Amino acid sequence: MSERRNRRQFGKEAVALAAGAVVAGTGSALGQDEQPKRDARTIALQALMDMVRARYGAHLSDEQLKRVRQKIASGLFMAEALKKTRLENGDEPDFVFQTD
Amino acid sequence: MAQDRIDDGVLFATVRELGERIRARQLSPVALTEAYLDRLEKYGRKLGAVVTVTRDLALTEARAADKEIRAGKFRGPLHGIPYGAKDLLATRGIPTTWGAEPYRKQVFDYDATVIRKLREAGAILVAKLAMVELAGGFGYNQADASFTGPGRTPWNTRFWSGGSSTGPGAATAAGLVAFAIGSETSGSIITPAAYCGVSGLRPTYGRVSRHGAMALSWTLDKLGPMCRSAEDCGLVLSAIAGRDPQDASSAPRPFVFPAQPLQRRFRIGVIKDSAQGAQPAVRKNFELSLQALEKFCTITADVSFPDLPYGPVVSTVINAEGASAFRELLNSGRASQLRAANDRWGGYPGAMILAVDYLQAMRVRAKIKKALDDLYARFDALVAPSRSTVAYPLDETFEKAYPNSGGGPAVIPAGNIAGQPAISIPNGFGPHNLPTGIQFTGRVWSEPRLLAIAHAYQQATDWHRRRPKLA
Repeated sequence: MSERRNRRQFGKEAVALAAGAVVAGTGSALGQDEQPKRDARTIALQALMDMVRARYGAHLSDEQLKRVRQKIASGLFMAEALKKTRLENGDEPDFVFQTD
Repeated sequence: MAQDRIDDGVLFATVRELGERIRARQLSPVALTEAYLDRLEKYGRKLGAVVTVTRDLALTEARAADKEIRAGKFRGPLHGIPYGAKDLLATRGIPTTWGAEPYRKQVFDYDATVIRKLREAGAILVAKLAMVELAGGFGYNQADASFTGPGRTPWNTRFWSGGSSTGPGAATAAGLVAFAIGSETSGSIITPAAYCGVSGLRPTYGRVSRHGAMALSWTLDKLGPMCRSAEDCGLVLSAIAGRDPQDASSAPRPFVFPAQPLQRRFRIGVIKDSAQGAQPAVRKNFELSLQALEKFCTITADVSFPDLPYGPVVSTVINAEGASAFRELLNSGRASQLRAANDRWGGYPGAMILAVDYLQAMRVRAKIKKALDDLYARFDALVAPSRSTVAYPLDETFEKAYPNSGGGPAVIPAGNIAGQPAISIPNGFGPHNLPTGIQFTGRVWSEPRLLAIAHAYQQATDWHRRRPKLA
């Protein structure tokens, strides 16, 4: 999938997640085992937005909070995309801690 | 020494040409500096390219250079050469604003390592150059994203210079400086180089010390030259490269320029689908460039780029590291002072990235590095259009500017994730008299090879010699 199509796909799904869209038994293309993932995403998004409000709510308007929510939703999709790369225990992060 | 009045044409000469004339005492560093200073005052703010003209410092440095050269002490090809620095580089006693209103009055009491090295090479700092606020890390989607206003490409000032090194791109193209120092986290040298029609080199991560440069993303930020030729990029990189004890990520790798000539043709791969989705003029200029390259390169077409999650990796890393680097700004609420509407809220999502998700991105990053290195090992360089379009108009958000163009492999994010070098050089023009660019990307530490290829291309073409007409 090209980068552009990926971005469009993320964008659509992120908007849906951010808007709190729930697809349950609607006859959509999603299968039943997609439902637990969607609920987990929604829960995660809600928890993160609660934290945004608690920490930064005084600095953000309602409209800005809505945009923050969309971007966090997009980030959650990206995080899931990254989990699709198979990693072993020995695959370390690309930085090294060194003592002097 | 030399003429007192400098023709405008001289101001568009390359660093090499200027240096040779200075050394031969045909050109005075003081007169040259005064000419660039006058031009910066005349055009700098109209182009949205300048934050601070450093007149007093520049003339002091120019007089010192003049005195040394008269005494026969010549420091090298940059001696007496005026340059501009992207305003994220600390300069003692002179504001370093990061392009952002909350930092407009910020002054450091030390110089960045790059500034110190350029002074030691005899170069003359004439200006702190404009940039997109915070190097674009909070997700701006419009040209007007600096407190200095939008950067404008001098080829058509209704269009954006490209960012986040807006000032270095515009000032170099407009002959306001002999060269500039820009920076790139993901695209911020390559993009303005393409949109302004200059030669911009993104070095290998670790080639140049980041000490004293604003950090957006500690593991992605790189400083590099923006010049009027690839050869000049090599001369400038020679002065600023090298291990710095104040930047643990800087590497003790020697930079040898120019490279020893190869006894064979360069091996170039064309990244598959990299021109697909490009504007017609971008695609046509790219194809003509390949024809020019065929004269001295062996070209392999349709080289597939590994299908890996470049976008999610680079976004996760920039957003998380950026939110950490600017944590104080976000906590204080002063992000509300930023220019671009998206930037006023855009840093907060990064603060919500889970540690395990950031680490996942950094683990995947290691795999991307390996996959790309395996690919690049077969070639001296891979090529692609620098950008799929010409510069964006100033009055549209980015997503609305050219909705039917774009896509293809994520060459810029991929190269930045892997810390690889790249150089963008001009290769023609497109709609609205706007330049297009071709980028050569290479294996880590392959800057000498990339510069040799780009230099050979520029010896066979003259796009880099074209000059914009300024009103």
